[in-house]
Amino acid sequence: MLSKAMKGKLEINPILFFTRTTRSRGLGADPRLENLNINPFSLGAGNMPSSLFNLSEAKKESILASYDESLDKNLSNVFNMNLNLSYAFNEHLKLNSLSSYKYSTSRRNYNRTSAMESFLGNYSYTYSDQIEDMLTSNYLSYTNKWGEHNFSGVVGQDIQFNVFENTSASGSFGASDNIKVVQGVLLKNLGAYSDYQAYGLLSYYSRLSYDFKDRYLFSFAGRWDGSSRFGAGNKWGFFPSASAAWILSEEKFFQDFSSAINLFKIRGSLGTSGSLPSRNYLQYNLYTVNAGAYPGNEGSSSYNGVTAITPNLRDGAAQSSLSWEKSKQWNIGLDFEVEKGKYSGSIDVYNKESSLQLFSVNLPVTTGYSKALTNAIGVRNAGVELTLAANPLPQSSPVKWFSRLNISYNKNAIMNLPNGNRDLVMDGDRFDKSHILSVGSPINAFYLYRTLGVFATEDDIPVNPFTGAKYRNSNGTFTAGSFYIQDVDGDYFTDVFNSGINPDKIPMGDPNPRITGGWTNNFTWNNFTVGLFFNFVFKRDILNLFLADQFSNSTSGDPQNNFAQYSTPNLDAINIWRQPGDNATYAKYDLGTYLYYYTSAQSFFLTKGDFVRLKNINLQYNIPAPIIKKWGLGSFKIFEHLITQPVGRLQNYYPMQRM
Amino acid sequence: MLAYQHELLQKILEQQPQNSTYDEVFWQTARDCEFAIAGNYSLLRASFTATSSYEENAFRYNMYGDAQTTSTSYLTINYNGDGLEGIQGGDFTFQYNIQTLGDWTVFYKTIAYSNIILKKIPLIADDKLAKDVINVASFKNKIMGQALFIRALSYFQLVKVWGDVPLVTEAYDDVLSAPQLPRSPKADVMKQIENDCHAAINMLNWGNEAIQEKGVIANRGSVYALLAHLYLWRATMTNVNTDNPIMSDVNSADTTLNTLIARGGYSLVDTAKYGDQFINPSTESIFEVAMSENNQEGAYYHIGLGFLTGTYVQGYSSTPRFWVPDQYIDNHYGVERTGYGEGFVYLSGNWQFLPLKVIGTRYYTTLGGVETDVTSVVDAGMGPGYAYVGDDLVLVGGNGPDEGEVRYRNNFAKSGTQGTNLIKYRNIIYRNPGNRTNGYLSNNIPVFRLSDMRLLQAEVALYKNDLSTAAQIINFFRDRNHSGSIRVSATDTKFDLTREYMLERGKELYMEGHVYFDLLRTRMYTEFIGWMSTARFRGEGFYWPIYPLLFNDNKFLTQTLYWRGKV
Repeated sequence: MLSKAMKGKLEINPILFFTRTTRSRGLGADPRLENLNINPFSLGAGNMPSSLFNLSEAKKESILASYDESLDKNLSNVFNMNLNLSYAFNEHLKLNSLSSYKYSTSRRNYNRTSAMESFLGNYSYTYSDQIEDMLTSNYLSYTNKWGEHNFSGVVGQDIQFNVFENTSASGSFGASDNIKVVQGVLLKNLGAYSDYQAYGLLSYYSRLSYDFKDRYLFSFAGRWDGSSRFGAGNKWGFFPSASAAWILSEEKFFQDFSSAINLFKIRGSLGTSGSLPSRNYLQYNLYTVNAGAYPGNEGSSSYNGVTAITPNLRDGAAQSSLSWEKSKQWNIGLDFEVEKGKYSGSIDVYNKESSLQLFSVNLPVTTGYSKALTNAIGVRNAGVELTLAANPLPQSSPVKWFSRLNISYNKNAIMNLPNGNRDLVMDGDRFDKSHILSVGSPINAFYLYRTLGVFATEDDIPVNPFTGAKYRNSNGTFTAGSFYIQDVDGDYFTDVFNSGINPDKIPMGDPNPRITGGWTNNFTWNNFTVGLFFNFVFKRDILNLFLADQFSNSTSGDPQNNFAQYSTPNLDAINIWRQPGDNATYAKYDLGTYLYYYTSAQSFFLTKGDFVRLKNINLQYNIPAPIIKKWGLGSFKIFEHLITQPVGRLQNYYPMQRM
Repeated sequence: MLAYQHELLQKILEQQPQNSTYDEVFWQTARDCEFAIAGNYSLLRASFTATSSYEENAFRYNMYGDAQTTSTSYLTINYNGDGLEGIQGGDFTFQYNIQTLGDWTVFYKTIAYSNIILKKIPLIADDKLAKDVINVASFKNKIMGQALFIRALSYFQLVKVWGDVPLVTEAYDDVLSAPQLPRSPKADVMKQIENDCHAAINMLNWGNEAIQEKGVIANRGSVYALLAHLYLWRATMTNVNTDNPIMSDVNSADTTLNTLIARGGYSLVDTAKYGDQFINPSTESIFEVAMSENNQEGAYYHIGLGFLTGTYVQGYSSTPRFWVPDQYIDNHYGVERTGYGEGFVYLSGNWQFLPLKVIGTRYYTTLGGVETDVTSVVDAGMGPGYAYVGDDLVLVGGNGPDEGEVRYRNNFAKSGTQGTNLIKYRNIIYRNPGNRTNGYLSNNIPVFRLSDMRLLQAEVALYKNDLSTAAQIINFFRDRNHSGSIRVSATDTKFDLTREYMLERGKELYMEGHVYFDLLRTRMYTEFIGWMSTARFRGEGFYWPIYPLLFNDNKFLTQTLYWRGKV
C-alpha cells in the first residue's frame, strides 16, 4: 500500500499482517517436563514395555502414540504492523524511518486424562503469553557520484524494546476428565505462575561505502550498541568492520572470458561483532522467593510457615562487570555467474574466534554462590561455504528447473578454557557424563571409554601382575561376557562413579556436523510448481543412547522384573555373548551385576550420524492472473506442504512422532 | 535535540526485574528480615537433608551422625549398587560417597547467607523498622542472634565431619572477585563457634514470643545446647592422642548445661506420649528443623521413610533401604522376658502340672504361698523358656526385646522381611487422602532436646570421675522408661559406666544425628565401630575426605590428613 505525498518526496508504506497457527506436540510433551528432555514420545528406550499384550487400551494407545483422549491445544497469533516512511530531501539525501510493532500471543490448553495419571485424577494446565516488540530504525542515507567515484553513507539509530509476559496455571488430581480447564482441583494441588521480562537495545551506526569504476569496492562500518542486559558502565560496545571487493569481470584483461563468465568477484571482510547474554537482569543480585525447597521436598516454599527468601545462590550473583561479548572474524569470498546467470555460485572461507556464550564457572565455595557466567571459553569456528545455483534447462523449455545446492564445511575447536585450560566435564542429566570441553577438541566432544570388545572367556580378562587381581571396577571384577573397556591408565581398575576427569576416558568423536547443506529443486510448468527440498549432514558422530538404554533396563535394582517388564532388542538377532568362548559383538545382557559395562559412555555406542533427508515437498498452483483480477487480488496461491521422514545411512533411525 | 533524545532513550536500557526481589531493593522492612531468616533456616534444612541423589532418604545429617557406625551395631544399609553402605565399613570414598557426602558446599551456602544477614541487618535504618516493630534493637538482635546460631551450628557440623575447614565470616560485596580460602585449624573454627554462641546468647531470650516458634526457631536455650555440645567436643576431640579430656572445657560444658536446664524452662515429656515429640515440638524441644506438613513442608524423602515398609506407607515394599539390625536391639533392649504358662514339674517324686512363671529360662512356681525356683526340675522337653498356654507350647520367657520399654515400644516394630523397622518418624500425611497417595512425612529433625542435655550431664560427671552422678542419671532414664535392663551402680568401673552411658544415648537418641560423634567423644568406638582401630582414630581417620573436585578451583585446599594418598 505504498503511497506518496509532498510531491513524491514522502513515501508512506504501511504493512499489516496477521497469522494464526495451531500445532500439535505429541504425547511426550508434558508441561511438567518442559525443562527436561523434550520428547514427542511418552516413553524412552529404557522404559518401553516388553509386550503390548495385557495392557489397557489407553496405555497401549499412549505407548503407540495414538491415544487422543488427552487435550493439547496450542495456538499462536502474531499481529504485525509496519510503518515505513521515507523523505527525500533531494536526489542524494534521504531520511528513512522504519517502525514495526509486533504483538504475539500464544496459548496452550492441556489436559491429561486420569488414565494417563495412574487413575489419580486428571492433570490440567493452561498457559498464555504475550510478546510486544517495538522496533524503530531511523537512518539518513546519502549517495553521490563524481565521475567514476561512487560514494554512499548511512548514519542511523535503532531502538528496540521487548516485553514478554506469561501466565500459567495447573491442577493435579482433578475430579473429572470432562473438566479440561484448571478447575475442580483441591487448593493444595493448584499451581500458578506468571513472569515479566523486558529488555531494551539502543544502537547508533554509520556505514561508508566507496567504489571506483564499479570495480573496486570499499566499505567501513561502525556501530555502538547499548543493552539493558548489562550494568551501568558496561552497557555499550563498539563494533567496527571493513570490507573490500574487486569485480574482476569488469576489467579489460577479463574481456576474453566475459562471454562465458559474466561475473567474477572476489571479496573479503574483517570485523568484530557482539553478542548478548540470553538472560535479562544479570547485573542484579537476584533473590529467590519461596526458597523453602530442600532435597526432601522441592516444592516447599517456607520455613515453619514463614516465606523463605534467599539470595539466588546458584547463579544470581550480580555480574556487574559483564559486557558485550566480542568476536573477531574474517572471510574471503568469491562470486561468479556463468552463461548469463544460467549457472551461478559463491565460495566463502571464514574464520571466527569468539567465546562460548556465557559459560558457567564455579565461584569459591565459601562465597555460598555456585556459578557465575564467564566469557573465558574461547572457540574458533572455521570453514568453507559453497553455493551453486543453476537453471539447466534451455529458455525455450516449457518446464523450468531451478536447482540450488549449498554445502558448508565447518570445524570448531576449543581455544582456551577458564582455570588454566583445565578440562571441563559437562554436567549432563545422565548418569554417564559423556561430554567434555578440552582445548583443541571440538565443542562438546564425547568423553568415552574405548570398547575393545567382549571378553570371550574368563582367561581373556587381564590380570594385574603385581596383585594377581583381575581387571575390575569398584563393584567387582569383570567376568566373561563383559565388555572389555580399555584400561587407559593401566591400573586394572575403572571407576564408573567418577563423574569428573576420569583416567580411563578419552575425548573422542565430534557431535558437531562437519558438512551440512541443503539442495532445493523447483520444477515449474504453466501454473504448477513442484518443489523438493533435501537436507543432509555428513561427518558427525552421535552416541546411540536409544540402543544403550535398551540394554540398561536391568542394571539397577530388581533386575529380573525390569528385564521382564521392559523391552529389549531382539537378542536372537544380534551376536550377543551367550557362553564362554563366544566371539561376540554385544556383551552379555547385564542383569543386576552393577558392573555397568553397558554404560552409554563408551565408544561401542558411538556411531555415524550422517543422513540425507527429503525434508519437504511443495505442490503449488497459481491461479491464472485474469481470474484473480476479477477477484480484485494481486496473486493467489494454493499450496500443499509435505514434511517427510529422514532417509539415509543411519542404522538405527529415530522414529518420528505422528503429528 | 539529539542529545535530549539520547537521554530519553537511555531509559529503555534501565530495566529492573519484576519477577524477583533483589539486593538493591530488599532489606527495607521487618517482613524482609523475617523472610530472610526463614530463608537462612531453609538453607540449614537443605544442608541437613542434602545427600546423594541416588538415595534421597539418606539425609546427610544422619549419615554423618548415625550411619558411619557399622552395619551390625546401629543400622544396616541395604546394598543396591550406589555404594552408600560403604561408609559402614569405614570407606568414605566408596562409589558416590565422596562426591556427595565429601562435598561441603551445602553448608557454606547456609553460612554465606548468615554472613549476608549479619552484614545487612545493622545497615537497615531504625526508622524503617520502627513502623512495624516496637523495639527495633531487640528485633534486630533476634534476627541476628538466629543468624549467628545458624552459622555456628553449620560450622559445628563442618568441624565434626572434616576437622579443619575454611572459615568465612564475611559477606563479600563482589563474590566474583572473592578469594579462595584454605582450611583453617579446627581450634580456630571452634573458637569462632564459641564466639558466635556467646554473641547469640546476648541477643536472644529464653522461651519463645509465639507458640508456633517453639522448638523450630532458635532461642537462647538452643544456643546453650549447641555451646554445651561444642565444649564437650572440644574437650575430647582437640587432641585425640589422649583419652583425657580438657577439663576447662568439661567445666564450661557443666555450667552451660546447668544454666540451660535450670533456666530454659524445658521439661521431659510424659512417657505416655513419648512419640508425640517427634511429630510436634514438645516441652523438651530445644532445637529441631521444621518439616511439618501443616505448612506443606513435609518430606517425600526423609531418613524416616528409608526405614518404613508398606505397612506404614501406601505403596512401599516390604524391604526398606535401612533397617535396625538384631544386634542393636540385643545390645540396647535385650532382656530376659517374663511370661506365664503351665507345665510339668517333678516334685516330691511326681510329675505335677502346675502354673509357671518364666523369667528368661528360669521357671518359678508358687509352693505353699512361696515363689520357688523350679528350673532344675521342670520338664526339659518344653525347651528353654517355653511353657504351655492352653494346649500350645509357647516361648513365654527366653531372651528378647524389652517390649515394655517406652522407647522400644514407640520407636521399633517388626514388619517386612529384614531386621526391625524404625518407626520413630512415621507420621505420614497423604496429600491425596482419597486413594492414600502423594504421601509426605511430617516429622521434624530433632537436633537438641532436653533428654540429650540430661544425658550429657552424665558424660560430664564421667569425665569428672563423679561416677555416682553418672550412674544416677543413667538409672533415671531406665526407671523413667520402664526399662528391663539392669540398673548401673556407682561401684561399676568407669569403662562399664561409660559403655552403659553410650547404650543409653543409643536408646534415647537413635537416628537423631548424635551417636557417631558420641562414640568418638567417649572413645566407645572401640566397642561399637569394628572398623575404627585405635590407630585410625589417633590418625583422625574418623574425619571425612574432601571431594577431589573441590580442589579444581581452589589451589589452597589440602586433603584431610588420614585420606592423603587414599582417595
